[in-house]
Amino acid sequence: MRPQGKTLEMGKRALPRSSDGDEDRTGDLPDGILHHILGSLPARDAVRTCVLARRWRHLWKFATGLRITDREMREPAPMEKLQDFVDHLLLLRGRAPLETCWLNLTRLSSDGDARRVNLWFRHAVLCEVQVLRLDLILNGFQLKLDDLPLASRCLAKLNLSGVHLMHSFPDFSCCPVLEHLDIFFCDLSDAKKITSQSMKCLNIRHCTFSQISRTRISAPNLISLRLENYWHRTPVFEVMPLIVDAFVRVHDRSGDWYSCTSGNADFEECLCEDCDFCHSNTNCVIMQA
Amino acid sequence: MAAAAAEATIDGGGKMIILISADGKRFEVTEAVASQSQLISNMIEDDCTENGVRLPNVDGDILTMVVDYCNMHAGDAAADGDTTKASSTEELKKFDAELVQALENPVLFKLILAANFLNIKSLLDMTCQRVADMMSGKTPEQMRETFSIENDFTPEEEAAIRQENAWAFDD
Repeated sequence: MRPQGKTLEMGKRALPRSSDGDEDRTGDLPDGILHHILGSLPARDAVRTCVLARRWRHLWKFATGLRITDREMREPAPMEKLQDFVDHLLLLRGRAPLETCWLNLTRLSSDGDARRVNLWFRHAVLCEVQVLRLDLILNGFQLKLDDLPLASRCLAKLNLSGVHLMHSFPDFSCCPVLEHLDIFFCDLSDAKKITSQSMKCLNIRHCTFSQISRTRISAPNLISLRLENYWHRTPVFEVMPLIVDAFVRVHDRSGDWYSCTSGNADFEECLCEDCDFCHSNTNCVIMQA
Repeated sequence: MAAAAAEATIDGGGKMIILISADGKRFEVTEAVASQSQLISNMIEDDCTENGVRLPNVDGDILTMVVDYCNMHAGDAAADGDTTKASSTEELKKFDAELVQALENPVLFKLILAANFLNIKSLLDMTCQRVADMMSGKTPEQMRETFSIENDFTPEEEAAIRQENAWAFDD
């Protein structure tokens, strides 16, 4: 964040200046910093700052982050109530740029809810979000993310938990600065290919792949890979000459074998059931190129 | 403190630069440590740190904290694959937590301003998060009290704004 010239007093202090003339600067936080602070608050708390004082009235609209959750109240909010809140929030704040957005939801139950969350997700992308996190991990209903590739010049980090990725979604070729992707507890059975030229770090944990076809992962600039405890067929990695750090953990419900083409090893193949290396490492295979 | 901080980094190698606080205190740090500040990193690139870097916005006591923070975090970016650095993640978390938890609001705000001025993103994020944590879950009245914010609305104005934003106040 660039230092900002325009200052905004957080509040007038009751305390007088100290005797040596050193001014108490408690009040002098610039707008940009308050936007940053508001972006680190749950969205409902951030909006409520509008009544603190005149200077706070519209600050929440420029918060650089959105943390939207239905867990913040004593009891999780029903979806209708959350929808009303988020619709107001997004319409009133407009397209003010976002650095971070976290949607952490537990109460989805219908296709209508899913459409709404897809819309919020896409809206965050339109707001040039840099770090986007969608967390539906404790939800009984699995949301299908729209079968459309993401296109963003700003998205650098994407974290998805508890969602179903359709065929076209994991084509990240229109996200030229996406470097970090986490996919946890997701259904990848319809994802035929995960593609990104820019990706440097990929973590896939507790995900389900297809029982029939192998997902191809094409990330030629990948530096760090973690693939842990997946179900069904093991993905196939296209060449990753830059990889420095790779960790693969296979459990007994994982697919048949794993394969990887990387750097100086053209092709490695491991039949896990019979592999001494795997068993001697508590079913861990660590590859280093 | 300044001398100790400088000594601790000399073994890290690299060229040393001098940071000079508003009240004239001098801190000798390696370029690697100082480069966590984007501002100073740009100055190093432009080759204008020869005579020391004057920081007229940052007091010595605040700069001491900033230098301590940067010394602790110098391994983050630089030491890829160095396991001795990697193992200290827990230590770093503890250090960070202790650094911000104990601060009085005026000092915390000064540290935020210094992190903003020096453009040290991780320190700015951490200190802003500390303020957000102090606001989170509080009513507007409690927030005003925590940060000595004077309510300059009339009761009627405040009621009207609550009404306007009733969608955020309805639980």
